[in-house]
Amino acid sequence: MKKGLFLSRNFGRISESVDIDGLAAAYPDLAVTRVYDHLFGQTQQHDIIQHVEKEQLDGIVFAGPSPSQFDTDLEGESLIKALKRSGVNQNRIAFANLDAQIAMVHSDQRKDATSKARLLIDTALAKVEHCHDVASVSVVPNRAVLVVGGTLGGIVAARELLGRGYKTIVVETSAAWRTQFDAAGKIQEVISQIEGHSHFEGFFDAQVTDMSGWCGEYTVQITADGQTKDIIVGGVLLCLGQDTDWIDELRPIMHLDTDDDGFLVGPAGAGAKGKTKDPGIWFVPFEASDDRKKIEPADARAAVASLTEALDRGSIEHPVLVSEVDETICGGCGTCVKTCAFSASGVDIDKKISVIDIKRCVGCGNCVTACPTGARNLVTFPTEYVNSAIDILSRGATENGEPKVLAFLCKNSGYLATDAVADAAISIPGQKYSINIMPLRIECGGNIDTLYILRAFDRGFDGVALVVCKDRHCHYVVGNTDMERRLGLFRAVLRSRGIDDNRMRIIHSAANEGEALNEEFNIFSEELKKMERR
Amino acid sequence: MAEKVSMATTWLQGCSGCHMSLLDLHKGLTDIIELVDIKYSPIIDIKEIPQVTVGLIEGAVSNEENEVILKQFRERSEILIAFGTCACSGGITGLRNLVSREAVLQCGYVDTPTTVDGKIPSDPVLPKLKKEVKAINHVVDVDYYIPGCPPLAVNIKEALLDVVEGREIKQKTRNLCEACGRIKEKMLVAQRDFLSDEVVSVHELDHIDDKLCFLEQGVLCMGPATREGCGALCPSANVPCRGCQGPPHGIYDQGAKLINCLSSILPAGGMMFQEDIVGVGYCHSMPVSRFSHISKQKGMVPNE
Repeated sequence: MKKGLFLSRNFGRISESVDIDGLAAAYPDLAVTRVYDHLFGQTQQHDIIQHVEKEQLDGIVFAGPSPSQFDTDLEGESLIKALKRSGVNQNRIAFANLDAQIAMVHSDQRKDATSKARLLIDTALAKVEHCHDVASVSVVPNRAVLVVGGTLGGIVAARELLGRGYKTIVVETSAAWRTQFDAAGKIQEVISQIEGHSHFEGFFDAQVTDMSGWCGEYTVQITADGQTKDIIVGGVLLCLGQDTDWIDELRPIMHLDTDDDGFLVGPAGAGAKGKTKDPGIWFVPFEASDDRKKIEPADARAAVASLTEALDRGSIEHPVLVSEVDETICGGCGTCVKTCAFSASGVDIDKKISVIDIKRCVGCGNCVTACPTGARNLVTFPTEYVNSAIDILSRGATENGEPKVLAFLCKNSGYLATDAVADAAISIPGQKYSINIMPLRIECGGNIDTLYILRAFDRGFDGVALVVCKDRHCHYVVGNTDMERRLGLFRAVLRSRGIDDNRMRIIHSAANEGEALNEEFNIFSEELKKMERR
Repeated sequence: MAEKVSMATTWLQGCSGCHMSLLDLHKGLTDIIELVDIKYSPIIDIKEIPQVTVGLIEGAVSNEENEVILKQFRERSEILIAFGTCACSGGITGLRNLVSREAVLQCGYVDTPTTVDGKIPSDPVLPKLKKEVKAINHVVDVDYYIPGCPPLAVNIKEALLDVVEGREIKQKTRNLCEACGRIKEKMLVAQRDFLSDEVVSVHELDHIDDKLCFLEQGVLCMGPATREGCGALCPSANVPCRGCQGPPHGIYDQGAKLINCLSSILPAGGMMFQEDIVGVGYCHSMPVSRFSHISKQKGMVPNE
């Protein structure tokens, strides 16, 4: 494999704390190693792509900005797109977060920070090496949209969609539209227009009971009067208002994220209002404001515009980020079927081998952990990679009396929270944690195998921290609860044998709770220090 | 007729059960004797280990004598085979790795209720008990493995025939469920409720359904976390699997994998109440597990 390493000084912010040129010189065996002042810019992109094409690189590591910046920064996004166009598989691009996880939090210890940076780069190189290529499917978007909820937002959205030439299907749990704002009877007029439209279909006293597929092509099951009907739509618009019970019912079906009050929220760092992590599903946010009847229609129009922008394209590419099955190892025990919250696993009874429904699998890794044989593997974070990452991160630690901790970071909460620690460090002095806390990004709490934890202790870590989403906030709905079930039993097992289980710490964190995470890290380090040295 | 293949066998820390299983071939043994010449074995009276083609080791390495004999076997056999679960992954004997050597000796020679005025033997002639039990591949290189507690007679025969005819001994790679004839119903339905409200022993069931998967009846079965190879003998006799074929391919911690696997399937409280998860999960593979290793390290030492 030909690998390229592209490092960023980040305008001096990284190079001040880390010997970035020294690091670049430490990898003479790579096909390309380049240092830039920053990675996001047309010149840099042009230069990087030239290297990739000239050397025919198939593995890329970016050492510098947080990977989340490649999602939120337009230039970052464009760089990743350009790499894909040059034939680099999305799974062969990895990141070493030197900015947030090293430079910003270990700023006054250049030598040790540089050693830690090297471990993070080694880990990213291991990811590029061990990950499997991700396949992709191409979908021609279906020109139909499902509007869930006959609220004011739903009514406006339906009219808007019909106006744009989309077939519009409305599902509402109650018997009629929810028209509590209709003092002047104006809305009734709009409703008559909608209902008279040839592209409209309405299901009342109905519920969405199942859904699978991708942006552009979802199969949705609607249940009314005990009868079920499958419809195909290209996108979904959720106009649920303040009906949190309904949101709760739809959450496992559409993998929605909610806040503490049970209302829908977008992913961290999402630019647009109403965005979910699935590009084919948008929502009209609920705002408890007097201006609601003005805000809601505006939000509905904006959501329709965003959704139809995606659906108006000729075709949509989807990476198949799923769990794989090794048929030479699987014995068809059914554990994965019972564990999967998305009904993505099944067993071929004749062959006694697990099969995966790629339209349903969300790639959370829960079945990979549950599989007792190791036949399952996650495309994005394969077992071999995580094992080798644990080994790499165990190699180095600064001899300063601080305990050596492996921090598993859920990519949707804990990992982003380490970025938030770095953000907080700009304004609040003292936002730093021990340099011996080693970050390791994983897909989800459900992806944390007890074998990883045993391996970490075996490799000499003094403690293992598991930073995952808070209760009810898991992007994969049950990942964090399943992790707690596993670790609860694992703890009980350790205790039953008189083994101290306090070296294992679960930390619940939201993506933006940097200060809290920093404090948790410091508390854990202190507590470990008081324990007998291993 | 071609020349017979020379073979030596021995047992280290084991129960001789694997050798008994070899004898269980009954008439089939005569086929083996036609092809194999047993030069050295606990069942024949020869003192010196000769140079042989095949060495068969039963049992794990638990004392100093075991280690010496094992190393001699390695030197003098062209092909060394781990014979039975103790040799392959430590087996039942390996469970003593959970406690210290001193505690084991104290328990065995002094504290047992039937012992009067017991004392720990100290005669220098006796081989010293090692600090921990090891599977033989943690001491010497091993060519092939025949797991099982004991290995089925037919598996032993097949493995020996493979060696005699110059083939590799292949281990099964899938898990026990593959061979198990019990029917799965709830296990194959994508529904996240627990399979059962409680975890019980087989004898506690009012009615044992002899066709249905044990897990679905709330009985802890090691089948999912166990390598296939026995043809699911126990489940077919209405006894849940206890994992004697050892962990599946590439997994070292059978017990930890069992936890991963069952936590979303059976109620944890029930499992803790009903079963000793460590004792069941690691029953046959403690010495090759990481669990055993970390529990020995400072700060995670069992309270004794």
